[in-house]
Amino acid sequence: MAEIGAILRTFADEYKKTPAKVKALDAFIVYALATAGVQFLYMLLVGTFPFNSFLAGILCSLAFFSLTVCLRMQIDPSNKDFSGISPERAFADYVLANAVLFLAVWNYMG
Amino acid sequence: MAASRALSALLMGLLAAAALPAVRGGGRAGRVLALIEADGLRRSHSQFFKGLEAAGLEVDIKTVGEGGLALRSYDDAFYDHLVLFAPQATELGGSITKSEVLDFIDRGGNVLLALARGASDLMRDLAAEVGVEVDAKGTAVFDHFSRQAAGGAEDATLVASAAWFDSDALFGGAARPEGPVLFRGVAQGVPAASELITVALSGEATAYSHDPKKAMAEPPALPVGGAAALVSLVQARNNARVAVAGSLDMFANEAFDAAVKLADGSKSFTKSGNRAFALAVALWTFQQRGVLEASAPRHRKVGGEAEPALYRINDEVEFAIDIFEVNGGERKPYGGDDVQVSFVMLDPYLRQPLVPAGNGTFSLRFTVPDVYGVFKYAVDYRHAGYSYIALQKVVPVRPFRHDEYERFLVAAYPYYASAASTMAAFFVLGWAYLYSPATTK
Amino acid sequence: MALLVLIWLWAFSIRLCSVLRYESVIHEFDPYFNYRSTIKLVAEGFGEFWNWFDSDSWYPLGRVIGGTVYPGLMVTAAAIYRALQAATATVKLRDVCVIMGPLFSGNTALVAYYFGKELKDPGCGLVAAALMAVVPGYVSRSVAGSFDNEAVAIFALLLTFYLFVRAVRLGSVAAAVAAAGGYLYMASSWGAYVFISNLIPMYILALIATRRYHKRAYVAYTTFWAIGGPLAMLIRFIGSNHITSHELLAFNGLWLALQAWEALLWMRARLSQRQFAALVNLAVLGAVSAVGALFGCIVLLTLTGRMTPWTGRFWTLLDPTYAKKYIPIIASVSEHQPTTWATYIFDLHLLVFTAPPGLYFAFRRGGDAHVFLLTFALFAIYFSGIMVRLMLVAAPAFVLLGALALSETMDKAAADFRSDEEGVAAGDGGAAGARGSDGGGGGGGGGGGGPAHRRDKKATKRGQPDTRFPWRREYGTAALTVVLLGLWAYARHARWVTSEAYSSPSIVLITGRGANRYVLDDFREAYYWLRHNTAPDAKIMSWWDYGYQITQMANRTVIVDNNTWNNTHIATVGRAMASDEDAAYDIMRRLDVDYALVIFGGISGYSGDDINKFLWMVRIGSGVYPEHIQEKNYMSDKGDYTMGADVSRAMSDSIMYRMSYYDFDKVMTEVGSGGAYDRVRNVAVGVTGFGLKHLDEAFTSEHWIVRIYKVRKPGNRKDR
Repeated sequence: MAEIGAILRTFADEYKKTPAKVKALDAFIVYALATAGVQFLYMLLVGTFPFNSFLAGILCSLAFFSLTVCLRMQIDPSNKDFSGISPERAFADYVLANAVLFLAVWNYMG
Repeated sequence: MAASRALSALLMGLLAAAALPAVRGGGRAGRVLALIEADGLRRSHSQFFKGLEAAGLEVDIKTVGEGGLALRSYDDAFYDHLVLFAPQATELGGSITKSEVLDFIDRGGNVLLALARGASDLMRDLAAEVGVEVDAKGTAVFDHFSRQAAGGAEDATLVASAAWFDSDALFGGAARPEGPVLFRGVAQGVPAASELITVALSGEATAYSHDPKKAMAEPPALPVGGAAALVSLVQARNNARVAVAGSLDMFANEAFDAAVKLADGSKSFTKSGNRAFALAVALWTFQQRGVLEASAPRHRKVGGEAEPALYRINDEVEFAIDIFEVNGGERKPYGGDDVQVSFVMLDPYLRQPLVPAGNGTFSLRFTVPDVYGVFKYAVDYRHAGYSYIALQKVVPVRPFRHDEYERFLVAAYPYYASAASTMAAFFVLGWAYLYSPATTK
Repeated sequence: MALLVLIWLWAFSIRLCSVLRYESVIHEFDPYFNYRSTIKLVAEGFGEFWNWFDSDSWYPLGRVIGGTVYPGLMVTAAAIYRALQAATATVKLRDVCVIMGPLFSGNTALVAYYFGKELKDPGCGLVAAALMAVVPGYVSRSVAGSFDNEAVAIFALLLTFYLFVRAVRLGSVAAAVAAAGGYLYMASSWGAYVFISNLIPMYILALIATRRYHKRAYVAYTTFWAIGGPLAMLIRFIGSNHITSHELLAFNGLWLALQAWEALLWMRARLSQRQFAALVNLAVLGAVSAVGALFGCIVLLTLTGRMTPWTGRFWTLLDPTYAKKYIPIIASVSEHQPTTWATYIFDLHLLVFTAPPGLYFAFRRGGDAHVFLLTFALFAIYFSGIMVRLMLVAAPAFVLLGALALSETMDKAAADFRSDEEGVAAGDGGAAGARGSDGGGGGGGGGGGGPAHRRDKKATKRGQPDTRFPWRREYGTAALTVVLLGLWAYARHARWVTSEAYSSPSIVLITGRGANRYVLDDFREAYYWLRHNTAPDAKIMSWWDYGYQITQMANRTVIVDNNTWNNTHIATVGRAMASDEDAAYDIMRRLDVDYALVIFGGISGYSGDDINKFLWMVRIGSGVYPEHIQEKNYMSDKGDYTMGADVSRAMSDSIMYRMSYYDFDKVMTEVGSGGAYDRVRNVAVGVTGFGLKHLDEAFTSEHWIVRIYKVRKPGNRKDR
């Protein structure tokens, strides 16, 4: 258990080094995961009746989560895989993807 | 497609209407051709024919073999009804043949067929063609207990039976014959599963059918008791009616006027039931009794348009139909309460009695089942003694349209909220991303 | 560019053979449904189409077409039609539908070009495009008139793959969104979209296994998942199945796995070796229990019916004998039979032989795109071996492998004798242009020649100093010659196959050649008879193969059709066909059947008739009604399926037999054989001279191919 504590401590120390903007993104990522979790619990609680609404809701959160993770990766300077993509380009792509996502989700929701 | 559906619904309606018995003209109950095998029958059966005339029928009596006999000329029918009082005749004369008589029935004509012991093959065949098996030649109905003993008669073939079909449709009201019906003739076999035949008069429990010249088989393989039909009523699918009576004598004046004393001495009656019964059978056969007219089957969405081309599942709908009973030209709302409507797609999803309103309209409200498909309303009413009512109306039931499902369900609010909040988060993120000082680094 | 246009035109025009040889009609069976839907879509708009409840098929069940259709094809055709109308071009909707196949195969060739470019270089792209343009395996489903989902779907399939490979290369979200768009189009067009959504996870797994995984792949995949999933769910037929179906388990499961994998990688970057190891141990423990829990959930969900289990077709893919054992309705479709070697040669020709070198070169190069191609090819080859139908999916894989192999070979060979090569390449290219569609070989060769020419300089540097091997130039010439000859043969074969084998519309039959050519137009004759001589609401019972055609061409209600969604209903029809007249009459009355229709080849020699399909009817019928129908009763005592003198009792009593051979003894079909000689089964029919009790012959087409019987109403006076 002490091991875990040590791990967490090291992790916290390391995490402080991340840029502020990435930290901001992380907040949204956590938020998206949290909404997904809440919806899942709610579904377990009340049953799956409006099944399409449930799927739309939880997919919206998860998709938003993974898109934001992508954005985070792309603007994180420590990732070398994305040499060809500027942060501005990454953000523009991100906006496009989200627009498509929300359209699809609201369509499926009703 | 919708147009053709509407058209087909219309056609169904028309077909259904065409299948109904035509309304006879006011007061005139139709023309009867009575074919008799000998002139003497005019006299010996005069009361029967008079009875028909009294009921408004126009009776034309001709002898078998007379020249120029015809039931129709091309599509022009000369008669509506046919009486065949010629059990021994091997041919009928003129253009009237067996197939012509059957054709007459298939066109909606009604036939009263009287047989006798030793009736000709022609007559037996005619009976067989409407599903009535007449017992073998040479046989007759015997009854040693319930038989006529009045006037010192010692004849076991003159049986007396009160086992008639107890129906208002046949007797045109609550009245029943006062005495048993005297009968001398052959028995008939009617398959128990028959859909079209009703036995109007059967033998009493002690009656049996037998050919005295032959040895009795052991065990006896003969129509016995109630299984020996004496008079059968056939109603064809087109509502044409055929009565097959095993006895010509039961229509005779002699039988009409006879007093009845049963051979076992138990009972005696001042008058036989023959007049009442024979005329009831004849009038029933000639569409004066137990005729139902069903019209205007209709359906609508409750509070909505009538006869929609499509229903949606779970719609509240109402089906209605008008049914009248016509007795000798007198039309009154049908009083039965057992008319059912089914809502069928392969299997009936609903089968419930229609509720009579008292003015002849029968209706039912119900909710369309939660199943889509091509449904049909089917009224298939077969009350013994009454005309058939077989009507269908096809109506497809469709599922919800994509925009007809319930929306804004309370249970789903959290999901809406989460999607909305995710969207909001996206905008906040975008705003923060673009305008936060960190962007400039 | 000009070459691409030529290839496009080539792909387009080679598929017009069917219109030239026959006429501009819709082919086969399924396209008739697509055509009918398109008419509805054009006439009544998208809203009505989307909610279309069709009461004219599957009587009396009806079919929710809006919710059980892949609308991509119809929407595309309707859009093209609308656009043409807006441009005041008066084109018939039917003609638009007829040329959809050629149009989209041209586009597929273009996509193949880009894919080839992604694999190697524009030269490879050109070879790929040229091969794709005429690959017979694809032509089979995309000739003019084949208004079928597959015609569009193969385009969508290749497009999605190309866009995804591109997204993996670029690592940009936008590229992945584009791939998701392609996926939407695929999902709206064909049920084989699950092929994509299973192949792409496999590809990612392959990347991980070969240690080529990188963050760009993560971005491409998760974005594809996040956008493609919700988009595909918009298709009503797919809907929530996209999440709950087992078939999509890999698609969704890999997303979860990737998150965990990335989280681990992320942690590793931030922790010391030892700490990370400890964490991994914990994580593995957690993962095992999580997987266990997930598995439990899936089992639970499946048991409670929340999750749809794998469908029969899917099981067939894993176990080729599955369908034969359990689901006759799937096995009865000839498209679902295993593929024979002859089919491979017939449909792919040269590409069968270029596939192994293609695989070799793909391994050699080993880029992201090549790993993808390898995964794609291996799966496609496996699946195509199981179902003939999936040959269609395998064709692009073979094409891409072939393109890679040919282009590599030609590069190498050309490098060996670059000085003379320029002339050859130019000449070849020119020939391609001049000879048009006839110059198939030239076109392909030109495609190959072009890149060789361009890559010349690079190749020179590599090739020149090597003098160990004195006969390089001669060997190069030989290799080039072999390749060009191969391409020439391939093009000839493709042209021959297209014009001879795949152009037949199957509603019009042609026998004989030249002066002895006979056109059997019985199908349309019979359908139009139905259209003009029966009540508008008449219900027609036939085997399901003809359902779509009857609803469209005869405009009458059918009991079952090619959308085989309700096995019981089909089994009921199969049972009716296999029953004797009395039993069949009860079934037909229950289904309100007015006419029964059979296809009979005994006079014309048309072997695809109902009697040859009859055993499937029996099998399907006995699957649901084993107490009424038993397959062995329809075999003769010797165990043969025969119509001859020893025909079994159940067989000769069945209404299928009765309707086929009614009055058959009154015609002489083959000189000297006596009457009642069946020309398909080459046997004198066993039982003849019977009458019919509940059926009346209503119509028999000119060559007796279609026979229609009216079901009698019950007698007026008798119980039956």
